[in-house]
Parts: sequence; C-alpha cells; structure tokens
Amino acid sequence: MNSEKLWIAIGETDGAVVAAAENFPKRKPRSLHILLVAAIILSFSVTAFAVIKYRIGINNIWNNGEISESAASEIEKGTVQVGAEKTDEMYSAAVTEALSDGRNLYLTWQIESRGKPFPKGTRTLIDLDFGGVTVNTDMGYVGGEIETGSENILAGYIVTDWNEGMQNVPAALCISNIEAPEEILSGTEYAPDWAAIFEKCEYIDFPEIKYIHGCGDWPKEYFPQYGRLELKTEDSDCNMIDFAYWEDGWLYLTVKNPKSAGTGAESKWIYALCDGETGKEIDFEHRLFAREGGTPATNYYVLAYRADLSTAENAVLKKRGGTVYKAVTEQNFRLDFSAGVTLSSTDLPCAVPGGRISCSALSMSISGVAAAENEAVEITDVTGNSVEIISYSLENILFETPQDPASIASIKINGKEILDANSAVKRGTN
Amino acid sequence: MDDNKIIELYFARNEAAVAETEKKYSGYCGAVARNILNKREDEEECLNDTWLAAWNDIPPSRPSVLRAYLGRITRNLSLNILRRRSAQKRGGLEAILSELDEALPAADSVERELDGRELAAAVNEFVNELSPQEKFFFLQRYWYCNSVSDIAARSGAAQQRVSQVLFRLRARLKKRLEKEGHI
Repeated sequence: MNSEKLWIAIGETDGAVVAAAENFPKRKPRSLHILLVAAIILSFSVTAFAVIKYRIGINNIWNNGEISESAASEIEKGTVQVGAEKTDEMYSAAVTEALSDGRNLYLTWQIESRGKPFPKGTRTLIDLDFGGVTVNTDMGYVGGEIETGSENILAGYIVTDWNEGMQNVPAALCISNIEAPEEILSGTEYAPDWAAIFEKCEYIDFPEIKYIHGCGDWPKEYFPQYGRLELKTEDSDCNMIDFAYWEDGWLYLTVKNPKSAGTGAESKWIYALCDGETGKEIDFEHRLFAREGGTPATNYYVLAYRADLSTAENAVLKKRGGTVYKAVTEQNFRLDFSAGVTLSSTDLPCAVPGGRISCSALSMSISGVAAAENEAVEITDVTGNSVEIISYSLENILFETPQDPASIASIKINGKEILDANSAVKRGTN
Repeated sequence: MDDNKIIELYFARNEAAVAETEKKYSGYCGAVARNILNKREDEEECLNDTWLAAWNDIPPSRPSVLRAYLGRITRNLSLNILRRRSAQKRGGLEAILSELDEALPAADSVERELDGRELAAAVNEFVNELSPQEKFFFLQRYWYCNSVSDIAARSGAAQQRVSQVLFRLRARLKKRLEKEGHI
C-alpha cells in the first residue's frame, strides 16, 4: 500500500462527516461542564480510599525498545507518582504519574471498572483545569491511549504545553462522557426464503472464495444469477442477493448493487444477519468484500457470515445504519493534583553568539538564534539517526520519543548548524 | 438552488443542472483543487471535468451530500492531473503524501494488503471514532488538503498543537490499519 492509495481512501470518507468538518466544531460551554462535574462530586459516596490495583505509568507511553537506556533512565528519575484517586462502588479513577521539564507536562490516567468490562471502542473526554484555565483537545494538549491488556481498565496519557503560570498551582484532571459505540440497525427487515435460495442455486466451486479469509484475488468471471432475491431499501436503492452457498460453517452471499457503486459509505451497504424473533444479531464475524476492476453493472460484494444456519432458519437481514455513542456510566471524575518541574534540562553549547539551547529528555528550547519564519529544525544523534520531533516552535521542540541530551550531535535550523559540538557540555538548569 | 432540486435536474437530464452546480460549487471545488494543484489552468480543467463526471454519474447515482460528492470527484481528478505532471513537483500534495507515509503499516507487519474498498471502509470507521475536533483537524489536512497554518488559523489553535494532533492521529491510524491487515 502506498500513501497515494491511503489518500484516495480518505477521500471516500462519508460525505456528511466531510461536510461537518468544514468548520471547527465548538465545545459545550465550559461553565456548564464545571457545574455538572461539581454536582456529581457532591453526590459521590466515597466508601473507602481504595488502592488502585493496576497502575499505568509514564513508562507505558512509549513502546519498549523505542527509547535508549540513558533516556529511559532520565525519564525514570523524573517521573513522580501523583496518587490523585477517586472511587465509588463501580469505578476507580486516578491520575497515576507525572513528568515535566517545565516546558511540557506528561500525565497518565486510568479508570478501572470493578463490574462489567468496558465495551470495545469506549472513549472519554479529558479536560485539564489549572486554577480556572482549561486546556483540552481543542487547543491545549495532545492525548493518547495506553493499552492495558485488560478490558476493565481504560488508560491514557496527555502531554501539554506547560508554562510557569500552570506550575505548582492547584490543578484537576476531569474525566467525563465515558461512552461506547453502539451500532444501529435499520428497522427494515429482509426475510429471504433461504430454502428457495439454496434450492435455486447450483453449488459452484469457486476456488477463489477460499481466499476470502486472506487474499485480494477475485474471480474475473461474472457470477451467474441463480436464485435471485431483490432487496428494495427505503431510499430506492436496489440490491440483489443472487448467489448463496454454505461451506464449513460460513454462509456466503453475493450481493449486487445495480447502481454505480462508489466506495464511500453512502453507497456501502452491509447487512447484519439477525434472529427474526429477537432481532438480535446472530453473527458479527462477517466481511464486506468488493471486486476490483468491475463495471458498475458487475460490481458485487460477497458477504460471508459465520453462523449456524440450522438455528437461524428464521434469520433476517437488516441494513446497518451507522453507529451512535451511548454512555457507559453517567459518573464523571474530578481528580485534584498539583505538579512541579520533575526533570532537569541541560544547556547544550550553542555556536551562535548569544544563543541558548536548553535540552531535557523530553524537549528542547532554542532562543537567541534568529531564524526565518518557517524554520526547519533537524536534529541528529550521535549514531547519525534523525531525532523525530513534533513541533513548529523553537521555544518548545517536543521529541517524539525521549532523548538523552548528551546524545544530541547536531542541531540545524534551515540547514545551518547551531550546536557547538566541540565545546564540553555544560550542566545547567532551565 | 437547493441540492435536491439540482439533483432532480440531473435526473431530468436538464443541462441547467451543470450550470446550477457550477454556480453553487465552483468556489468550494475550486478551493479543493487549488490546495492540491497550485496551478490556475489545471484548476479550471479539473472543475470542468468535475461537472462532466457528475453529469455522467447522476443518475443512477443519487448523492446524499452533494457538496462532499463533488469535492471527492474534484479530489480524485486533481490527483489524475498531478500524475500527468510526472516531471513536476506535486506541491502541497507531496507534503501530505509524505505525512501519510507515517500512517502506513510496516511492510512486514501486514499479512495481507487491504484492497481499495476495505481500506476505505477501515479509514471511514477510524474517522467516525474521532472526536469532532479531531475529525476537523484530520479531514482539513487530509481530505481538504489545507496547510497546517491555515488549519491553525481556522481553529484558533497554535500551529504546534495542530501538528502534534495530526502526528498522533497518524499514529493511531497506522495502528488501526495494522490491525485490519491481519488475518
């Protein structure tokens, strides 16, 4: 796969979603959010100060092997346990660890469910309050998930710019809107005459079908139209199931759309196989496959369902209608903490008179060096490898993964070297 | 003119459909083409081809969101024009494709390559799971092909923040595609 293919695929994003992304969405008014959180805190009954059993920390952010030993040692020295926890009968939430060099603050958080596991795809909203100033994903910080290996624990981290005004003041991490995706199935049901489909179908051995589980090779031949079933949907879309066969616990249906089919969501139709009496989905191990190189008239999909048809004789097909998010819990958590600078910076020798380079394991700050508006920063370590950075600001160049300052061998701005590698490294504070 | 009325003109094979489409969407589609092509004459060629493609496709297609439907055609046609410009730089799109390289799974980590439609489905699912703000950043950069500084100006965020968010989203997309690529 190349990036052009990915770019084309991004172009097929659902039209309504693309249209909605034309303008920057506004968040709920901040004051309303705070009031809501305050009300819930009052109704909390904290029965005991429970110790969080499984602790997620800063060292979970970066994968093993991505950081050098010396950088890992710096990080470990600079990491502090925060211990801000809140708990109720069902959930425990905590800010677990913090790491800061005075320019950036890393925090890790986790929520543990003592009851049911969190549904797949659960997400949550995280806000940081610093004495009345709020930062959130709109503008203030970047967040990420941390894999916990447990369905009962959600964890993540945030990294934010952190200026002097935010340091050593009462702060709070607010976890709210814990919700999980739920699929919508359309009200319309299609109850195929399975017996008729199988009766009218002639079993044809398509060896290519065996590749459904893995490869992308598709039969070039046009599937014969046996046992055709027409499905007219409420939006006048007309789909046909015209071939079905059963093999090794998989039910295969070829479904054709006579209209010219794009690859966007608005032309995508996947059917869920549901119990006709309960409406519950029987099987969700199905796959949508498409035939490349076909014309609109011959495009088709092969749906493969893993289902026990003998118990699903009254099975119906329901069209998938998208996903909605529903609350996992109405509880929100406000976790109060304070943190200061935990990781020192080193002054690296600057080749530019009056310039200063301050570097920690997390980030670098360059000052007193005149640069063009769109400065391009390139940093290389002692092995000759590029140090990946994620910043456009000389005041705060955040490393993608932590670096030992002593391993920095070259710093170029717009191609011009500014590190005086011949001088000894001076130890200093930021 | 309302989008549904424009679509009805297409279905009636009334050539006023093209005129109305151009009147309403030349600005929008032009911006999409400009972000990719950077050349006036190419932009005009692209827009003319967009109206023709829509005329040929509707009916039988009946787009649910006409704006995004036209934008997608423009996007794809712009890429075709860029491909013809083999000797020339691809301008803004070059930088975007270079960023998207980071979102691609490592070759040896994927047991099978997703075909075009599966990839589109996986990307669509990924985008749907993003917060509204994340959707804005991601689609503004990789669908609309706007610059980071433009996105920053429109959202009020610092450029650094925009680049950080995009970086993280690319990493998450890569993880998702690696997962989808396994049997």
